[in-house]
Amino acid sequence: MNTILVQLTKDLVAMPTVTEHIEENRKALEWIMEYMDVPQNQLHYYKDTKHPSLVITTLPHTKKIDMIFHGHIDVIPASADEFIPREENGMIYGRGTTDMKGGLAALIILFKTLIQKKTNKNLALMITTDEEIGGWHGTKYLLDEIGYTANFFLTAEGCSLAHKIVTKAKGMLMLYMEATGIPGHSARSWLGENAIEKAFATYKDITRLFPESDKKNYWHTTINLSTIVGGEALNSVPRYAKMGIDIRFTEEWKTGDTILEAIKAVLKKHPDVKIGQIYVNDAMLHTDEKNVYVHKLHTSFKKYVPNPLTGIGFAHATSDARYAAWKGIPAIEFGPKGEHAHSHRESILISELEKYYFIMDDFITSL
Amino acid sequence: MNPKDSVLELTKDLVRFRTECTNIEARKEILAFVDTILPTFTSKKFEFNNYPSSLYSNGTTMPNKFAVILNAHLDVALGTSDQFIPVEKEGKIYGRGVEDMKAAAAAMILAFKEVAPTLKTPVGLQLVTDGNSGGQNGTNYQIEQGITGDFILAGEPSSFNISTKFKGDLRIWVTFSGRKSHSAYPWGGDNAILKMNTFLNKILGMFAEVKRDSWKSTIAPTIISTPNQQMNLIPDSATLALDIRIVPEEYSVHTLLGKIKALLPTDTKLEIYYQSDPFVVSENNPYLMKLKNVAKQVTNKDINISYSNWGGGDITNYSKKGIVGIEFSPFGHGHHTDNEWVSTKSVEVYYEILKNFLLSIDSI
Repeated sequence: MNTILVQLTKDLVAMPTVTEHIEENRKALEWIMEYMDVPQNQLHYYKDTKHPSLVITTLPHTKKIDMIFHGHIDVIPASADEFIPREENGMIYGRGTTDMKGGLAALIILFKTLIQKKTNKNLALMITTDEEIGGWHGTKYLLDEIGYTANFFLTAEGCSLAHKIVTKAKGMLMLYMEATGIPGHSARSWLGENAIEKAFATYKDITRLFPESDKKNYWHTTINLSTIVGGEALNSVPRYAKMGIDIRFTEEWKTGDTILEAIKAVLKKHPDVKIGQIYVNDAMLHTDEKNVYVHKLHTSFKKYVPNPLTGIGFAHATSDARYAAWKGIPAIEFGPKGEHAHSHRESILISELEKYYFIMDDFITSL
Repeated sequence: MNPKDSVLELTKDLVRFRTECTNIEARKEILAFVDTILPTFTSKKFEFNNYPSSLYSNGTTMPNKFAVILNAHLDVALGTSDQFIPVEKEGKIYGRGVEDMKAAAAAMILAFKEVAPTLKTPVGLQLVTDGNSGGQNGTNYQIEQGITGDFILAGEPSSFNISTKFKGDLRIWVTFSGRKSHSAYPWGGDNAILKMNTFLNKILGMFAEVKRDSWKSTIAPTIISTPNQQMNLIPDSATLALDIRIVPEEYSVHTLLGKIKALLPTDTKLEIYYQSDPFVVSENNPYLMKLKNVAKQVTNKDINISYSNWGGGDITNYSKKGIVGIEFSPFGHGHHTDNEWVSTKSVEVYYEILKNFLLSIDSI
């Protein structure tokens, strides 16, 4: 088992499947189809969408699935050497080992075995290629447009911190704010009104809505000033400034719209600053911890990790699980424990990867 | 022709040359035209980076050192074709560059022509074509060639005041470094934009808010940017441009830079785009006192001594070498705008003052 799992993980890491490199992602999906070596009517390849995807089903010809397993094969950009998987001291290093080719490798092997054994369980493995940029053309498309549905959805997103079943993930509100000033020569700054100063003053007041934003690793709402641009010339009072703001919210705010209302109230004090494009306004992932699938998974989890730190918990970042949740499908994230996702030190312990394989095998058997 | 008319006619003649920064030929043509007005004077031609300039002497030789230099730039801000057709109506001449600074130049040329040959003191007339571009290729180039004076009178727009105080100017780019991270984990990164904001708040706090035109230091953040375009990242870099104008009672460039550096985290990059120290001409300067006296004689009232918010101008190129200068122009309005004009009456009075000033300097 060990050898096959490690080899497949390394094979996947060696494919430079950066999200925007569509052709590399397409090749990877086709490689996986060959690797599966199963009947064509159990491989559903959506290759003509902007970001291609693949659905492997244990039963042919059905979109009504008992449970969907999910993984994405795209990764964030990396240097060339990060696509050369490296095994060292019981670890595999490389881009995507944690996020999320390790977990995906385990699921591919499990599905290959299930299909070869002609299981009568009705399961699907969804593999998409655009999770890192939002998942609109992958998971969202497969659920909303193609019409896959299920009783439960699990995405194998790896977690870098405590190993846990993620039933809650924060909602996401990304918006631009635009400030308008009155331009003029900056040697006579009193004749103008400075858009940059207006933008920063507004941001400061908005951050007061989220007083605990900087607290570490805690279930609370956070705000980040992600982008900024403003000004026209080095000797002009700027006419315009624009900020990109990323807010990750918990139950305290219920929805992104509640936050937008609160921001609008703040803007009464800042009449020259307006809300611009709402880039993302996504609800939280909030699955009932008492769900029967969660319970079964937790049982399998405890067999292999006798003292899980938290067992069931939350994630700060969002995942494609939210698209299932929006369709009313209970959804969770549960992946192998990895390290340093999105960094050049991204890696996974082989023992953790194996553990994940055995937990998932046990869980599938229990379904 | 009545000389009082000719200064207005010469102003209009100068406006017709389309001496925008983009027009190399016009810069040469306008200087050649001035040569036809001053054919008998000793002159020296300069040219640097395609910017020609002229220097006329009132003596038979061309000295390096003058007592007084009248300085004017003949280039103008970019304009539309119709703005290069001067229009005189209701006591004003409209046109591109009338205030900045062809009316002053016309008065200087004619005052120099009429009066300078009678003087024992060496007087220079310096005409350049890059005054709107920083003066590096005109006035500054002549200074580097050894030209110097005791007192410089530049015709930069001053609304008939005499500007004797000039704000310093420090324009900088500051680039802050942070640590990139996923924005769902604000504690995992170090946001360069927020570091920039912290610095900005501190430095803005060092300057009192200036709500009207006054002899006080001012600061403006003018450009901000970050290379990060991704919403879900904590940016690891952010750049801020500041335009700071300083008065010597508050700062020199050196003391201000010291304070800025003390506020900056060590991994910050500071680039100085432009710097010039503030400076103030002493009220007891003998040339300044003469100028005030003759202005009072001509106008029957005290002329206002004022300051310039613009640190730049060719006076700065002199002050960097320790050479004293002032700015003094006819009354006008709207330079660099579409409504630029100069008062014909004030051009004539200005011309009289210049002549009387030149006539007075032999006695200094």
